[in-house]
Amino acid sequence: MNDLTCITVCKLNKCYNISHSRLSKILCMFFSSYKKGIKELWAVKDVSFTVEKGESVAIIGRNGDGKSTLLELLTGTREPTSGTINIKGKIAALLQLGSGFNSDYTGIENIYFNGLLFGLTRPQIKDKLEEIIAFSEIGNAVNQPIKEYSSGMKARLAFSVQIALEPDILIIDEALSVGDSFFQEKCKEHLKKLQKNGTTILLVTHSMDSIEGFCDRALVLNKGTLVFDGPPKQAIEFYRSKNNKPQNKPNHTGMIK
Amino acid sequence: MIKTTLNYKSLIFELLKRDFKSRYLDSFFGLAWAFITPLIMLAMYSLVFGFGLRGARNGMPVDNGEYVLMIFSGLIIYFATSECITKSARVILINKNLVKKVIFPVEILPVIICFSSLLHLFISLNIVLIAYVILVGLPPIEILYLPLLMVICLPMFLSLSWLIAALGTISRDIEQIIGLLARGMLFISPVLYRFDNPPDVLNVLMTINPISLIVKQMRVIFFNHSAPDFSALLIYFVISSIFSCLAYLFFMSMRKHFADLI
Repeated sequence: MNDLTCITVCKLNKCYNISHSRLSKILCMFFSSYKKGIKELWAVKDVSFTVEKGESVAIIGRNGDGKSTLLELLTGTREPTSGTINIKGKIAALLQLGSGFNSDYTGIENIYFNGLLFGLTRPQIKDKLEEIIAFSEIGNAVNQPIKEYSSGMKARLAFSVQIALEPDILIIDEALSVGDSFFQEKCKEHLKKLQKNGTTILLVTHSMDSIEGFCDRALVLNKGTLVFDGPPKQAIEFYRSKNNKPQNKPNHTGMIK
Repeated sequence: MIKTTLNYKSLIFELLKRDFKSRYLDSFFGLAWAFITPLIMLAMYSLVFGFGLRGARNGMPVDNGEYVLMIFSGLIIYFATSECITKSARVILINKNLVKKVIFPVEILPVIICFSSLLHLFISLNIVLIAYVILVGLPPIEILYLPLLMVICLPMFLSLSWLIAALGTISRDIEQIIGLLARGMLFISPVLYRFDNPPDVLNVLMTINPISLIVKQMRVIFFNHSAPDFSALLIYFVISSIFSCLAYLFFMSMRKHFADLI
């Protein structure tokens, strides 16, 4: 791992043990040899890659191909079955819409909560408060509880908070797709600014346009395995050709647009 | 363990504030509930133990308020402990989102429960003090030892909370078992009894019960007007601190499975 590498993933595997019986699930957890009534689902299979500092990498794949699991492993909310992940720098992640928010609290309180989680102090958050509220454009709604927000407003606030944290690595899981097109444009502009400042960005998206226009590299996942790692244009072609079967129109992947 | 707690002290404080606020936020009486609840409990227990169970003679309570207070001072310890363990059993399940989707130090969730229980214990303790002044008279100078008792409760709370939170995530049966244990804990503790030499079986159970010593020492302070048994408290503190380290290690070793279990 040289100075420029900030994410190194080596032979990463994640296997979900699926079972109707909770008991066998628990037994399997403690005694790895116990396999009765267990169906294994390898969500991530033997994935290795490295990401350099300042790179923007897209992860593409169809639903259920392991993109979200991969991101969860990277952020550390899930433990891999085997393999190693090395990460240099602080991560901020938008894994699921509104997940870092407590719906009973106001926007401002949630901003503080997320900032503290990231490791900032209260005065540091206070300094950023205005910037966050301005970027999200939700105005006075910040004083309302999050439960009264529309999903678009939640997405706006969540995104504004995460980018204001100035992480070394920003992980985004389709969260952008909820905001309206104007906000999406604004986000892309801002992400480009972050790119210039050297922020590493990992992006899961189904919008092929944003991959081409925005990322330096793309990874294609297929049923948990990394099948392509290279320039975005070729990655998209590869991905399209792989899934372009007559009875299976590829265009469902473009639904975000 | 101490390091993680210190690292996240502002986060813990923030979440504690939220926990306290959220419990009373949408109610009309708001924060007042934190005081009203123990007050009404005190009133109810005075009724039961002052007139009912003790057998009032000619309609007059047998003792002065001291007996009621003796029961109640034990009860507040029991309430705090039982709240701490019943909440711990569900805490990871309730905070699914934080475990699965956010980079969050899950191990502080039980810590927050413990501090919240301690805070409520502190409020109830003040009510006991006020009631003491009204029913008995000026409290003895030894009440200055009460904060010490509260500090000694903390490692006991922490060890129970980490252990039960981890177990409760692995199996949902724990929640039911803890519900029963929490109730049983009252009846095998000195809270409702006054004898100095309980029968053997009960005595053994009482010794195992983590709240027994605290309840007894609280009574020593309030009603014998003497300093608590420091050597017993020290041993208790050391043992419960060791237990809390073990419980923390257990919690942390289970932590990686949480996301797959809920």
